[in-house]
Amino acid sequence: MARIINSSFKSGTTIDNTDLNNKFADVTIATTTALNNENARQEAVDLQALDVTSTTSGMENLILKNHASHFNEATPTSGYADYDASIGPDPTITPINHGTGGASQTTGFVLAPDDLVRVHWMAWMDKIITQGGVAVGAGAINSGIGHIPPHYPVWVIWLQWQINTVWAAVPGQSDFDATFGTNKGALISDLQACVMVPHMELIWGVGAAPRGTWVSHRTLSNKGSWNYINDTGSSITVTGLRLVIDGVYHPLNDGTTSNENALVHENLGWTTSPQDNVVRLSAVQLQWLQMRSD
Amino acid sequence: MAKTWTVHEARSENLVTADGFNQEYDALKSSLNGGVDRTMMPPEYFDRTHLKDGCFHNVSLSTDIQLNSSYAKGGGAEEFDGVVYEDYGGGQVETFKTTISGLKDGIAHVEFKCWYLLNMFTSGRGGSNELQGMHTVRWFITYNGSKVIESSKMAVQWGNPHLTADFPIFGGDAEIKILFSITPKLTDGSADDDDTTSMFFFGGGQFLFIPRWR
Repeated sequence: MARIINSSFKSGTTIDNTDLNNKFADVTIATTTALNNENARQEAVDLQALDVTSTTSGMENLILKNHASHFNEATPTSGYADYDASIGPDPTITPINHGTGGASQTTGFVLAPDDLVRVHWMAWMDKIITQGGVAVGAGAINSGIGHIPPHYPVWVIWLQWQINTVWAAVPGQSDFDATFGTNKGALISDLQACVMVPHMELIWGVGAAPRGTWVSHRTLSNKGSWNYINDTGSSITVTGLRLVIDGVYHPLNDGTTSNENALVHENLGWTTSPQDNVVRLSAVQLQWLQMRSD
Repeated sequence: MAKTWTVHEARSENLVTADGFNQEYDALKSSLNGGVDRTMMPPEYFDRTHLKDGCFHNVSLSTDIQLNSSYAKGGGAEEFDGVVYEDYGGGQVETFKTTISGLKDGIAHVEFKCWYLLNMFTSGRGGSNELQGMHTVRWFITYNGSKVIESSKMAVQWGNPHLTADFPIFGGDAEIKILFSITPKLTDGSADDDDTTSMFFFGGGQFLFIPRWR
């Protein structure tokens, strides 16, 4: 406690130098240890009292603890739609940008317990090559026949991190390695660090039947983000971050997985060679912010 | 700037009275007993070791936000369970709600992101005018009943909305809601949207709330 507690001299009292010195000694005793909240007025600590001189980047550990960014424009990356008529091997994942050479530090990011990490990225699409679409019959809204693409074919770009030299999807995100019948995929609850890139859309055209027309999207850009609070109780050392892409996936809910929605890998053989369906990314930017959560 | 005193100091050979001494001494004592203010603090001194948790801000993160299960129907081998027109006739649907307590006056930063799938098959199918009945989805976020975010209408099949806003807040509790609306059922022309096809689903939602105290 740093408060000075003593009584005032009463008028008419005879005092000597000892009485006076004791008053000042009370100040010394109370303030020999550091001052505390009992000494400070409300809002006494203002911006100028904060120590923000240790770095020039704002990473003073008052709120922001760490940040990094990486822009990869040098090497366009192509992801190919996997084709395998057998019961799903794990999809082939294509990294988009480098890990330890990208948004990382030599000693790694150390996530303390309760730290918040916020990752943002932007991926610029260069082109999407699609297998030729097949017209659908009149009448049915969502009919699909044979080997034409499923109703909602989609590429997925998701975030991985590297811990102890091992790359894996970040918490809340899957690497699409769960099994759903004859497909590999992921439950919706495991798709929190990804963006969806439409491969083709089936649009009802105007005119005589059959009216369905497949249209593809070219040169889209996709912004994604992921947030995480380290609730493991221990520090996590992250030595790399990267985005990966794979496809083509499609939705599923046929009641066989506790009636939960899932996104599964397309392996019905609707692409006859890897070159039939390709997505190419021209550039990727990745940013990492690490903050205190309180 | 150092503190200056408005109380007279004792001069040499002055007779010191109890009241005179008390007046000067008590001024010093009161400054140290809860009177140290920003003019007396050492500059560039306080780091994280001097500051208690939560002195500047707080964080609330909600994850795995997806369409309410009560709305989920119409799924299949190549479709999600989602919103069907049998249950949806238009308007805003509340899909997430959270209450945050212990807030102080300041500025709040909110972020909501997700991905969605919107059935675009009959989009634009309105008689001879392809622009009629464009299928769209729109997002809203409210803070204690006031709208703080209202997105534009999104008209792509697979989308990845990312909504952010910063606004002043008062201390106390806050109720935050996330809502969406989609184009209601088309009734023009022969290719009507049917009542049982899954039209909309969203998942991968995360809501981040960072209030910073004034």
